[in-house]
Amino acid sequence: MTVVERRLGDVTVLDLKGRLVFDEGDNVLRDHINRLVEQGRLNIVVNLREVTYVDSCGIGVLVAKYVSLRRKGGDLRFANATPKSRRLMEITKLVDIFRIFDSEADAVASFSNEPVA
Amino acid sequence: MMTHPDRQHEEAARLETLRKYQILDTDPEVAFDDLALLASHICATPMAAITLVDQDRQWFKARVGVPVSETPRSISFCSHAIEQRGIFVIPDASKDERLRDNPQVTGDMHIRFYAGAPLIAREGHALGTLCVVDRRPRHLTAAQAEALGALQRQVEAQLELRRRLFELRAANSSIQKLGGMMPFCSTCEFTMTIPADPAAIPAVTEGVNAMLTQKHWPEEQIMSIELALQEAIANGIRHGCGGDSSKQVQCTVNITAAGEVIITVRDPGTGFDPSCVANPLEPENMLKPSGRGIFLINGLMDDVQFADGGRELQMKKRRS
Repeated sequence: MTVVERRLGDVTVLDLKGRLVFDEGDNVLRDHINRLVEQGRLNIVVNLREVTYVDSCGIGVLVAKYVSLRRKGGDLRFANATPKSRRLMEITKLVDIFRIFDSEADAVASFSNEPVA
Repeated sequence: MMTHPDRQHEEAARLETLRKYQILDTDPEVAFDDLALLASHICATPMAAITLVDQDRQWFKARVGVPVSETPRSISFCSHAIEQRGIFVIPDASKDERLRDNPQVTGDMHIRFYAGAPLIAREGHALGTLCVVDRRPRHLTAAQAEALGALQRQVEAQLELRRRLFELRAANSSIQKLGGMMPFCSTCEFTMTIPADPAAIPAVTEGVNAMLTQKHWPEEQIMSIELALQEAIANGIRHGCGGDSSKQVQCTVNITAAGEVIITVRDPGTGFDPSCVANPLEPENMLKPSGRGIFLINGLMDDVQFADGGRELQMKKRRS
């Protein structure tokens, strides 16, 4: 899996491409978000449009990073969930916890509309 | 001609490579004709050709101002050109020891000038040349020689493209033949030994996806089975093999005539107690980073059973 980073003001958009699964995309994403946290960039939108596959390990990284960003006063939000990734979030009931937006613009705007304390 | 055994062996290998292009005696093609035309214009020669040196003849894939489609190899200039690398230039054949008695020099063709750039195959063999020919003695300018080299690389690229197309067609045809068998398999059973390496997982999950697609299973069900299989093998590698890639996970996938998929995944680990797996939907577990694999398998498949102390997982899904 590849991660391409874009910075839009205080928000960092991560475009994921490929398989967010055990030993493949999970480490890549974890390391990338950890680096952003070190730089104090805590408002992150994960663009799932080109994610071809997600498994429980991929979901695990999303949950772990969601929790750590929230603890530090930031947030991890989602845009363009594919049917596969949305279904997985539904089964695991994470749709009730994660903020998932239909478009990247909505996800990015959500940070300025409701600034995180 | 060649007599030394090594040379004979080398020539046999060269001819075998030439055959792989399946180009001898084919019809003219614009891509090759255009490149020969450009060579004749750039080098300002009345004749240009793309030649392929066969066992006993040289055959022209493209020709400008050349009246015949092939000549005997014994009188071919190009068979000299392919013996070396880089552009082979004869400024005046009537003064060249190797060629002055050649009927193409002494006869009506009256060839004097020749410049041929060898066409090299991916194996390193020279198949023939892109050559320009004139009836009067002359030279190539540095710019013309450079351009002839560039055109020669274009001819090589066209040849390579052609060969890859044949290779691709052959590969595709064997895949189709294998896949074409699938709808007629009343029962398909695959028993696999998978190295405990996560990189090996997609070959299995994508293979099962392709098998079920061939058997026209609904896409949503295929998605569920593929994900459950991904989870089961990943669990086997991570927990059952402790990530030790010298260990192996056994997997059997059975697609029955009755329209059911039965998958068994077995790992060499110490096992676990499936009844002790926490429910990830409980509030205290919702935000834990792990513990969703078995829950997902249960949710995605119709029937899930553990055996042998948790070392073996059997899961089933019936076609809807």
